[in-house]
Amino acid sequence: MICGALIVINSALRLSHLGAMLLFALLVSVVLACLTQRTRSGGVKYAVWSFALFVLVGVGVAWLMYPISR
Amino acid sequence: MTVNEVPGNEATFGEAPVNETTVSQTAGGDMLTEQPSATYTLAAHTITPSDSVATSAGRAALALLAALLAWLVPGLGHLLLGRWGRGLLFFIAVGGLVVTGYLLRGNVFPPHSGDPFGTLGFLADAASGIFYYFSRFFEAAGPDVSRAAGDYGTRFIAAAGVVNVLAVLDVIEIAAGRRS
Repeated sequence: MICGALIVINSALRLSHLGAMLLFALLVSVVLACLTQRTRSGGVKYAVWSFALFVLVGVGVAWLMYPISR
Repeated sequence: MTVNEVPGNEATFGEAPVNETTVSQTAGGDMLTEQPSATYTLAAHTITPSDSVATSAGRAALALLAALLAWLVPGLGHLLLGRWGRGLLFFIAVGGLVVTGYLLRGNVFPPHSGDPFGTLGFLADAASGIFYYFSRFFEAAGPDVSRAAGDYGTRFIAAAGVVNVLAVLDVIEIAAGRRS
């Protein structure tokens, strides 16, 4: 039964590359904000800023690597 | 009991009497809490060297226990210290990263891989504690790094371990009283 549930989750979680990157950026940004900021407002600002940088740098590097991808 | 010495109020041991010291006690119990529900002030309390040693030894033991629990189950060390929100956050973050890595069929490094990079990979993976042993449940078909998704999964699993190492260090800092 557990294996069946995991198969369902796995099929539902067919992440694209962009989806995987967004999930990674979200989780790591929140953790870094929690570790480095002492106030809630500062943490939210840091998390949003870090998430945006993760995504922008990731997309930028992807575009730079696009010519050598094929 | 939590003992906080007031900054700037130097305590001297030996022949001279100790100056006035404030002792704050958490009313809820022995665990450190984010917001103490009550604070009691004791004036002219004398701290003996044995008190100081016992306090530091207690803090060290608490830090060691919390760090061990934080490594075994991400977030559990924070729960021990009464940081429920932070503990839940680390559990979700580490668990989310590592389970996503397994579902992407990332590679899980075994303990005895034989090469330095494999050993580093094992250390990173094993840092996620009990989640390391969940791989056999989530990756019934084994890893598949022939696809890009599998390679991403390998990074997710390693990143989860690194995040948990940061969580363990955070627990140690909190238990040692160096972080609020």
